[in-house]
Amino acid sequence: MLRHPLTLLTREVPPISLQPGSTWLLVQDLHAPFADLDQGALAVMAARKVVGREFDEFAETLRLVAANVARLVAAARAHRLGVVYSCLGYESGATPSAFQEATGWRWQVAGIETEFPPGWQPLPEERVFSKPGWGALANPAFVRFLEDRRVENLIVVGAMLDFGIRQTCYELADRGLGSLVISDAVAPLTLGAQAHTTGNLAHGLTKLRSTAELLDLLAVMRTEGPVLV
Amino acid sequence: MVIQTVLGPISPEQLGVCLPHEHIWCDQRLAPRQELFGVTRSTSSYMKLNDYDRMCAELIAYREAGGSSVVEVTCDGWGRDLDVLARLSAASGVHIVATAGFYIEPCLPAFVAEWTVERLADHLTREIEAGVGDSGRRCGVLKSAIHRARVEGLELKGLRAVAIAQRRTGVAITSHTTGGRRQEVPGGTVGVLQLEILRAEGVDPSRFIVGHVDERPDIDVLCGLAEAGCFIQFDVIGKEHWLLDETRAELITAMIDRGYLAHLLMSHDRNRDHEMRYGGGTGYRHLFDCFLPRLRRLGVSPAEIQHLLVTNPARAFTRV
Repeated sequence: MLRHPLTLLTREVPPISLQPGSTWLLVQDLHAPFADLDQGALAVMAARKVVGREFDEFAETLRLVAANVARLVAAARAHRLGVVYSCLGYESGATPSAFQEATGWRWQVAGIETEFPPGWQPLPEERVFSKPGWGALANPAFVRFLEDRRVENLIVVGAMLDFGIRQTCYELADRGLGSLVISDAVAPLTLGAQAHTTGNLAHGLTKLRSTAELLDLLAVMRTEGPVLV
Repeated sequence: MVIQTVLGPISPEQLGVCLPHEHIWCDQRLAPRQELFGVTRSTSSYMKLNDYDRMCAELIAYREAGGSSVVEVTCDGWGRDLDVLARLSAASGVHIVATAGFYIEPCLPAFVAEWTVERLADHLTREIEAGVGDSGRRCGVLKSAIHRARVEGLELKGLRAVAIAQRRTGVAITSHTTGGRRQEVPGGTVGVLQLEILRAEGVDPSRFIVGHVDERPDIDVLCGLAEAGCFIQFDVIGKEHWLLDETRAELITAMIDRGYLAHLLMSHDRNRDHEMRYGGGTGYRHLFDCFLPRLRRLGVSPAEIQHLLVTNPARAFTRV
């Protein structure tokens, strides 16, 4: 049984305004370690430990949502929303974080380990930030990036909804920034966790929309200006 | 003073024990804009009831438990079939009231986008006054469904058409108020926003049934709606993944204590196989077998239960 009793006590999620400049699309943890389901680090480690089936729901969902991620990245660019990437890993010249050491997920955000599928390959002018743990805002450079551009809210797509994306949404809320999670452009580790995480994320913090709904909203934004969600 | 069922008009006294918000025949896989649900939704999660023999048995089991009437709230766009409902009603002996109006945007027929509000209102009025298509079978209630945190777009258009049709026909408006985004809505229901628009369109609040209040209830919001004259419908009773029945019973009891007995309705919103008795669930009998005993334990009297099950539905669904 999946219940969300916190929603009985917390306030409603305030509206967020989608508009170029203050709204960006965040693509999180969709680099090779998570997104390459054949040769990526997650797939390789799972195969090595003979627990590949444990990741079947993640892989299946990622395949399902991949087309939506690509559509949203293209739509964001077409509607002049900034696109920014955040990837678990460490920068060239830096050392792995404590989290990365503890988990053994020590990936340098450079070279083959930050290759992206063609559908959401960053453009040269788009920034790719490393993140030391699950949350994107644990990287101070990413926080400064958002502050410098006066970003007010982020549309979030990516992998590991129940770990990284949830953490990022909490961190955004802590800073007074809005988040809009696209429910069919995020891949959870398990489907059970997906239902529970989306329900809990929404207790006053985060909005949820489907890809089709967001594309409709962006079309309205193009013709009528800022649109409230 | 009549209530319109799929087999013709009945008097309010004939309605008897009534479940005011249920599905008997529906299939959400028919929804025209399924992409709005999102691609990660499992096809098994769609609302679907379409086995005639089994549904007939469910209705008979309901009648045998003391039930008399069901308001079937499936709208045009995802499997509403008044001929099937009429056959089920005749076979089971249960009065069935069918619904005109509009469900949430993914389930809206294409014509909602194409027609004017006035033309939509004419269409709904015809379904109440003359019948659906050429069937001659008439609907007895209107419906407005809002699945976002605001009333906007096609759902707003539909609500305005429903309001016009209500003023012309006098039937009640039942509602779907929250949907999957209920955590974004103050007090868990957009009934407050719907009421604002309905009032602006000239609808008497006493003709408005605020549904799904027990997905995420706030008793202060619910009492405010009742004070305005609306019916407050606890209609997902038994769906404890949203709210424990124990809490529902406490809320209903508290509203009775605060003087709102005459505004309360109760139902289950059954819409999937696994909720029915043939699927291992409690079907349309959950109220009798599980929930009424809870209310009794909390001190709700038989006379008050009679109000909840009989008196209030008769008042709600009588054309005025």
